[in-house]
Amino acid sequence: MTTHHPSTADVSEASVRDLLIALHGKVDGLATQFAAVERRQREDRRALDDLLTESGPILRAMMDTATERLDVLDRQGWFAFGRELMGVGQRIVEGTSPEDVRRLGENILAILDTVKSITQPDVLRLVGEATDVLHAADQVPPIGLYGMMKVAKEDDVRKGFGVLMAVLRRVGQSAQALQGGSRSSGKKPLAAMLAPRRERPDAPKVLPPKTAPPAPTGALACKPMGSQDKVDLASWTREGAIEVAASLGIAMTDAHWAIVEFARKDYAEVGATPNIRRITTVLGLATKELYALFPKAPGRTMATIAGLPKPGGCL
Amino acid sequence: MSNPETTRRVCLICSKGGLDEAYPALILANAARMSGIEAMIFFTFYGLDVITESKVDRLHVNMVGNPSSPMPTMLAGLPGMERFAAKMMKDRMAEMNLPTAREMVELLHDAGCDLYACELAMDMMKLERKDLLPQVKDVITAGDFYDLSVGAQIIFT
Repeated sequence: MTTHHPSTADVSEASVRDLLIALHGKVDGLATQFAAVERRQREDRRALDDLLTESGPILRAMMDTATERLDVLDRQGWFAFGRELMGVGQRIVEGTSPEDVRRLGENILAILDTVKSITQPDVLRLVGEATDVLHAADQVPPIGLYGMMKVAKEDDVRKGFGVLMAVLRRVGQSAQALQGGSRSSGKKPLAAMLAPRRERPDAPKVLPPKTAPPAPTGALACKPMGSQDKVDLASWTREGAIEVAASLGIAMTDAHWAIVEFARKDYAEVGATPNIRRITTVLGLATKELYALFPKAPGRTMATIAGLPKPGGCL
Repeated sequence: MSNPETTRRVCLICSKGGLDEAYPALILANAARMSGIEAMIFFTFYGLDVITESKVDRLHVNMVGNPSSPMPTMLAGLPGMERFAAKMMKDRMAEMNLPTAREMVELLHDAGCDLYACELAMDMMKLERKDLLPQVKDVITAGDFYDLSVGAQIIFT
């Protein structure tokens, strides 16, 4: 079999195509041969040797031609490029763990979506226009703080600024989601910043029964007046209370007792005498009624009768 | 009864309508009543806001020129800042279960504290009796105020 030896120069696209067509033709021939072998194999195994004997020279000729062609390609730099490409592949494999690949697989749809949305004609036009500005950067005049304020009035700039802010907001939201932290409203710290700080970690916080209005907390959680006021609840008697009330000019009625008993119960539970605000909210009593029952300093009078320390708090 | 508190009287003058300026008068008056001290409040000038139906729920906090404010004065003067600060303070007050200004006025009235409005200031602000909260006992002049505050300790806020 003879082959012609083309010079490097005349290896063109056309000649490569010719080579491939030739190969293809031979492959067809091979396929026929193999089909024949199959048939023969069923008759006689030795026929394989025949095939090898027959196809051997053909294969050799093919190899020779291919080697020459590849040599030409090599001289043109194709293999150097291929080797480098292999190197790139190698580095990708080395630098990527199976875990990374798995994650890539999970996110492939999102990645494709992103690529798709980035390559939308609108977006590309936008990017293209932005790049145009960069190309013409030498024609754009420098601008200072005052200039910034001036252009801030332009509709285009304002629109662009709005878009940028929206993007920034999304980026921020995503970043926060990435941290896994829930977004704080930022309200409470600021409220605490503006309002007077009144930390009362020791203030008792007791929830009243479901039917009663919520117990006052914070400033209204009645703070114990002091250790010297610690009273012995057991030594209190109704008769004694009536006497004390009489000395303060109060004749005890059921309404009086209701308040005194609530105060004693609350003191036992919370450890502090309820103040007027707490009594009125929890018992659902009008301030007016309380003042009617204990005209002078209702909180203190009530506490004295109940054998409790003076109530704390401003309300 | 020889308790000195039985004869004690306080008379507060509330001349400013800021949230932070009105509350001291309201709280002090209430505390006086709680302690068995007779109390009255005389509302004048912007203090009238506290007993004006249309304004009592919109009391603001002034952050401008307030060195204790955490907000820089430059910022505090921006539009809406007053409103914003007032909202913050009101939220905090609600958190503490403090009564609102309106509730405080009702509370004081129920506790037997007398509330008076200044006649001159009302004329200046073009207010009428019907513009005020129903808890206001009377509209009085400065002279009436001295008549009513005989024997009282006077506190100007």
